[in-house]
Amino acid sequence: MRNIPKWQKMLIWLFAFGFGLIIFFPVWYMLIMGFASNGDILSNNVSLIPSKISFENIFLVLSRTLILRYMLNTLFVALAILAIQILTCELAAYAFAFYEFKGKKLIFMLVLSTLMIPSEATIIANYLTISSLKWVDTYSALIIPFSTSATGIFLMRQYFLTIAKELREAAFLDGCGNMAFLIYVALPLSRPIAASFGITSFIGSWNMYMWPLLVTNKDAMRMVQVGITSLRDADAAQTIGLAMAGICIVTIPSIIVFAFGHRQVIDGMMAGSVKG
Amino acid sequence: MSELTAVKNIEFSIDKTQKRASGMRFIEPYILISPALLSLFVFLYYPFLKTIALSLSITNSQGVAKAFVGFRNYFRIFSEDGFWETLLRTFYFSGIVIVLSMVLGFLTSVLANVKGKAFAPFGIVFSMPLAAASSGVAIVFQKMFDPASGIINKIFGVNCQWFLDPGIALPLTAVVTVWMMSGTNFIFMNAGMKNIPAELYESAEIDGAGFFSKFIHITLPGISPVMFFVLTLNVVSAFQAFAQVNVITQGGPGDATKILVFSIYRDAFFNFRFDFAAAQSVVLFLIIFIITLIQFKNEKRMVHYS
Repeated sequence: MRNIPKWQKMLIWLFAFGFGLIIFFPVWYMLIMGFASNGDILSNNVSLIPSKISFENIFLVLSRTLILRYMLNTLFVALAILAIQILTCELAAYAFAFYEFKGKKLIFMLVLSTLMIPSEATIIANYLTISSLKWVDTYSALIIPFSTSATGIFLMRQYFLTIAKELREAAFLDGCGNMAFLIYVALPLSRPIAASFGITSFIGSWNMYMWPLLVTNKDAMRMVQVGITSLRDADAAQTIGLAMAGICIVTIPSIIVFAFGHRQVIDGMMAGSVKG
Repeated sequence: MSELTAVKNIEFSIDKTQKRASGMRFIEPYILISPALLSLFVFLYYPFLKTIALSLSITNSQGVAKAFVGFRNYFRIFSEDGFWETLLRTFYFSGIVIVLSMVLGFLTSVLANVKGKAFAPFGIVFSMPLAAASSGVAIVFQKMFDPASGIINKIFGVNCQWFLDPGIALPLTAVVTVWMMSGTNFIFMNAGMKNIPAELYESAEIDGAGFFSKFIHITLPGISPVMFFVLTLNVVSAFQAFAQVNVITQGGPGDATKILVFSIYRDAFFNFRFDFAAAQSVVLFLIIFIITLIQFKNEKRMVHYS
């Protein structure tokens, strides 16, 4: 699309800019409200292009609410899920990529078929399992059900398949066994795909909502996305600033992670979409 | 002589390790996949089958199946007038979400693919909702559209009730959902467009093809595989929408935004009718399954693989 006249290109740019504004607006609104003073919010005086930044509500929300606790909970849960998922996925993917064994095809299909089951079709029974184990309000309830990922297994298997067979044969001639090859060659080599998958998994855990809503009741056990909704009292205008400051605090990290890991996220998503 | 025994020794030891390895090798792969498989069995297959079993039983308030009743729960939910309305509402909601998402994703990726430095920042802006979409942002939308203090009424100088208006709440929730999904859609379609070889456009230009003819004959067929994938993804996510409904409207006003997943949640965790909730979950699974099946049946007609 190179032969477009300049004035047309300007028009298209303005059009794109308009779209960008609309898409960016909710995030902008969150920022200006989160960093506005309560005086300005109450007098309905918040300007779309603020002239000063106030940390009043940021300090309030950090000191008066459990938001830091929610974030620590979420960080812990997200990292634990990430570590366990990478471990289980790498091991399974390694087996699917490098071993021949009875039932391999069937088991692999069984793993992939789980992608067809929406989480809502399992959430009731999972909740009943967790509550019969007396796991409500524990970290186990938030972590263990997510201890593997069919997408992760698939991604890493695809990646392992690209490792040249010659490399493995050469390693074997040098007396390297299967396990040694896994630990010293395959795992280090799979770092890029583990990073892609890891960032996606982390953002997923950070934004998790329905499951933590069901299996946690104590305020101190809440994860951010559930906890944050408790900051808001739908009727009170006074709490808007507090809630918005809280949302800023929990949303900005995930935007930063995304900004830095932009490339990896996209690579991971694209790799996941290729059917093989 | 000593050399010979050394070689023999080496051969012997290789032989031994290989034998041991091949003995181990038989169970090794099963050990490697067992953690993943165990997790899938306990938290996916078992609960899925259990949900089906619950949907065919009467349960007590703790969710324990008390008696097998066949399809009676299904007859019950389908004979309640509320459920048909919930289903229709879910299809209406999902229809809006899917159509708008596809259009928006397509438009944004076309715009981000215009050549020129000035267009580069749009890629970041259009993909950002992927990171920001959460129940936190759902609150932001709720506050933006607040009838009394919201910025939208202020900017446009109107006095609309937005999420409190039974006629507007559902489409507006759908629009919020479109925003939440737009980052993902953009990223996929954008990548799909970047993958179309530039030579195709160049040779078409030499042949004198205009903007629209290039668009119809190169761009559309070129991104059809990605479009198909994104469509499948959107169908699944639209029917699974929950957080935004629970955060913003709680199914209201009245039942105006009570869509299927919210109805499942209500029946199970507020009315403690786990059997009805399970039956609705199975209906949800079947809807998604059948639509996905139809899509893949028609994949060949919709998609051009080069």
